Amino acid sequence: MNEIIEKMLTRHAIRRFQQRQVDNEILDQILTAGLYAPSAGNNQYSRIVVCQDSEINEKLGRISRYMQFKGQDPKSIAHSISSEQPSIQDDFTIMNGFYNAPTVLTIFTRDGVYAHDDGAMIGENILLAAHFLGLGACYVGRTGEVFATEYGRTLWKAWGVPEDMVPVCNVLLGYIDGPFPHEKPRREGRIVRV
Amino acid sequence: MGELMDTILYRRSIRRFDTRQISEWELEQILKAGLFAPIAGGGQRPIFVVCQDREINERLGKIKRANSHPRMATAASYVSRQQPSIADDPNIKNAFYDAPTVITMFGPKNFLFTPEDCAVAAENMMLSADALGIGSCYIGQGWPAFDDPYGQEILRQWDIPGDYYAVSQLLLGYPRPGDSHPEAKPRRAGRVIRIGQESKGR
Repeated sequence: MNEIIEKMLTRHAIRRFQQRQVDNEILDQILTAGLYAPSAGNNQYSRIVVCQDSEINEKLGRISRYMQFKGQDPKSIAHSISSEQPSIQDDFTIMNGFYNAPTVLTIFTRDGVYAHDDGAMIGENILLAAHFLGLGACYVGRTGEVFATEYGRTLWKAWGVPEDMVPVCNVLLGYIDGPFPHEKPRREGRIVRV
Repeated sequence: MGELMDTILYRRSIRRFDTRQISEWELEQILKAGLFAPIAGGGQRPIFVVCQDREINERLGKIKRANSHPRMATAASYVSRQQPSIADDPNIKNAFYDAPTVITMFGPKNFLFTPEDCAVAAENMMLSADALGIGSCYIGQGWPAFDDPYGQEILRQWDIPGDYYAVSQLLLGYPRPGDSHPEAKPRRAGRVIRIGQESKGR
C-alpha cells in the first residue's frame, strides 16, 4: 500500500493535550497545508484564525459544549464516541468543549452552497498535516452556533474577519498527552459498486 | 511529513482524463482512505457509490450540467485554463468530464454534519489519488445529477435509502496523456490571522 495512504489511516481524533504550545515552525507547515486545500472555483476566500489565548479558547470551548447539549441533561442525549480520548459526550465533567488545547483554529469560508465543503477540506488537510508532524488534532463542528452568540460575534469583529463569511469549524491542535488511541472498526456496506 | 506536504501542494483539480479505467488496487486504496476520514461522532453514516458504467456516468453528468447555472468565466475571472470547468467552456456538456470513475457520496438528510463528513472523505480520497498519480475533481452539490426521471430511476436501481441524498461527486481517472500538470495558482495573501501570546504577522 502507498505509504502516505497507510499513514493517513492511522489518524485519530485527539482530545488529551499537553499544555506546551505548538512549535511555530510546525504550526506554519500545518497552516500551509490548510491554505492549499481545494476551494470551490479556486475562490480561496477563507480565513484561518489561530488563537493561542487560553482565556478566549476556554470561553469558546464552554460555549461549544453548551451548543452540544443546549441545557438538556447530557445523559439523555449523549452517545459514546471514544473511551481513550473522551469527548464531552463521553465524560460529562468535561466543561471545555475545546479540551484545553493550546491552539484553537477557527475556519471561516465564503458564504454560499460550498461553504461547508470548503471549510471541511481545509480542516482535513490540517488534521492530516498535524498527524504527519506528530501532533494531535480534533475537528469540532457547531462553530456557526458558537459564533452566533454575543461573545462569538464580538471576537469575529475584533479578529477582523469579514462579516459576510461563514464560521464552519474549529480545529484543536496540541502535543498528545498519554497514549495514542486505537483504530475503531469500520462499518460494513458503506461502499456500493455499480 | 515531506511526502504528505508534497502531495498537498501538488494536487490540482483534473478535468481532462484518459479513457483508461483506473486499476482496482489503486481504487481500493483510495476508497479505504475515504473510509478512514474523520466522521462526526464516529457515526460512519455516508455511503459511497462507485460507478464505472460509462453510460450512466455520462447521462448523470449531462443532467448535472443541465441543472447547473455557473457564473461563466471572463477574461479576468476563470476556474482553470489548463483543465477547463463547465464555467470556463460552454461546450462542455458533461459536468463529470467523461471521468471513467465517478463516486457519488450519499448521506442522511436530517444530520447536521453530512456535508462535512462527505467533504473530509473526499479530501482524503483526492490526496490519495494524487499520491498514486491519479487525477481527481470534486463536484459539489451532488443531487442535481439525479434531478430528472432517469436520475430518479438510477437512485432506485442503486437502492439508496429514502432519507439519504447525494451530497457530492468525486471524479477519478488518469490525467490525459500529453497534458502537463496544472500550474500552482498563487495563494491569496492575508488568510491566516494570529491571536494570542505567540501573535505575529504572517
